[in-house]
Amino acid sequence: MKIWPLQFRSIDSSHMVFTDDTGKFFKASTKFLERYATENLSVDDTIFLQQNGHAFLNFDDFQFVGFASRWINRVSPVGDLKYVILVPTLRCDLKCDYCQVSRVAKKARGFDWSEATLRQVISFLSNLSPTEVKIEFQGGEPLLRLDILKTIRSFCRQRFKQAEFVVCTNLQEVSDEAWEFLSADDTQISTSFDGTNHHHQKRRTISDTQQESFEENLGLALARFGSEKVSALPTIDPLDPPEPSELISNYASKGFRTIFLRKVNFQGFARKKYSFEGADRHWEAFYRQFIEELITYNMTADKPVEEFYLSHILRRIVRSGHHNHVDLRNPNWLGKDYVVIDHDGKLYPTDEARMISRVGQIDLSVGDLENGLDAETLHSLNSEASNFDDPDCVHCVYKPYCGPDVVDDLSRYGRIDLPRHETDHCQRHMFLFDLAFELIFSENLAVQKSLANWLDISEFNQRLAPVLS
Amino acid sequence: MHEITISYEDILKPYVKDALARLGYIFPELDLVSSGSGIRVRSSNPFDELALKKEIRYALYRSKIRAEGAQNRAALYSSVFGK
Repeated sequence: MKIWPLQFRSIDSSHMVFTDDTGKFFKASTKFLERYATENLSVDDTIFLQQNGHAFLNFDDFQFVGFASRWINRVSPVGDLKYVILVPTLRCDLKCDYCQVSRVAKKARGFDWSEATLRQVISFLSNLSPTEVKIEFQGGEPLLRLDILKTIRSFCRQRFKQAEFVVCTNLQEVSDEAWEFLSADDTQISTSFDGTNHHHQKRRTISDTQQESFEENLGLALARFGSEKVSALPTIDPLDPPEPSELISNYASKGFRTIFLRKVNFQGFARKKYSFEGADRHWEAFYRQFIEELITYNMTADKPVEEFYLSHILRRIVRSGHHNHVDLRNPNWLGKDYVVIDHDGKLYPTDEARMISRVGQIDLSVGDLENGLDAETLHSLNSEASNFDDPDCVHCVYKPYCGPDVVDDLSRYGRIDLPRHETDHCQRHMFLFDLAFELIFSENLAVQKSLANWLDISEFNQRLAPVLS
Repeated sequence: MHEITISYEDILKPYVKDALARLGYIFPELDLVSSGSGIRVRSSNPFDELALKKEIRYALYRSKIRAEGAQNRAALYSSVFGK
């Protein structure tokens, strides 16, 4: 019998989680590790490993083929470019304390697409090969250039068999014409709501008038379109977070079933204003408390709520094939299946890359509308797109579920070759994966009820969390 | 100067070099060298011997598992990507 390599990590003083490269996992005692590493497996060990797909007899038997099939489904394929983030203007009618996306004043000049840029964007889109496209309008505040949004949407509806649109708006000033635009079935609304009105006003709207305007418009959007069409994300300052229970209650009462907690981003203009000293520790404490509150809430809620990123991680652990979220996949191809077109026509592999470039730290543009994508730069970035050969990741128990973030490493350290465990990306995800496995192996019924909801299954069966006893 | 020698089984000997290369940057404050049938650890600062012993053994295990998986990985890649 041949055993597929198993990675391991302690989860308490006497137990470890083990995974193979396909992401199949189990919990066992530290004594099993000794037996495994020193080639003294018991008969029971052997039977367990065979039954759980961690071993095979021959290179062409069904266990081998099954493993190969599971492994390939863990690999994020290179997809066609069909997700385009457009930034028709950098102007914004808010001046948020921690602007995530770089912005300029509403009356500033020279930060909108010119007529020529608009033509080039349309030309760029017309050359895409897929028959479907998803366009995300970012900013600045994209509704300040509703004329451009209309032009792009009309073009895409004609050019593609299927076109979807997302307008990322602060919902601060929404004209009748904008409401009409947003009401289309193929158009989604994405906004920010920092969990409580107090936190939202403190960081974003500042004045009572602007806060009232936002609350009124968010209420209108939800009343007219419902939470299927409107999503909201809270940005959290780890040093001044809202009460988790209040955040959950506020989101749930608006009909939101998904909350994507975002820590104030190190990129963009946030880095100029915020002290990040000790923020990670505060964030982890807040996040853990939030998940505990969420589990408590879900125990009695008619409509359970999820934290998006934890659900995504849980799905990646339990199932393969979840490659659509670009923050976590492996390989994490850059400039392949999605791209950002900035207000000046430059192309970026991610929105974060745009922010870093904007603050002048490093130019991570991967081309422009004039000359197209820069193949050489993309090749260079993508040479480190996977964790397959990373000297640290190859030993990591969470490798099958994780993925690199080259842009994040560059933004923080100016290099990508640090020992992985020293990077923010690794530390953040180790915390999240540890938490996920703590939940997966929990025997608490409230935890299992939430897990079932987050994994979209009828009930969380303990067979999903095998234990070698 | 604080110093201990952590022994290991003969079966782990072929993997000491790889393990030391990795341990060297995980614990840059420690001086780690192969010494007979053990790994000698020196440091000017005190360290948790029990925790370090565990980390060193785990590093040896990981190097062994990685090395022994090479043939299986080659077969896997060949199977998936073609021969």
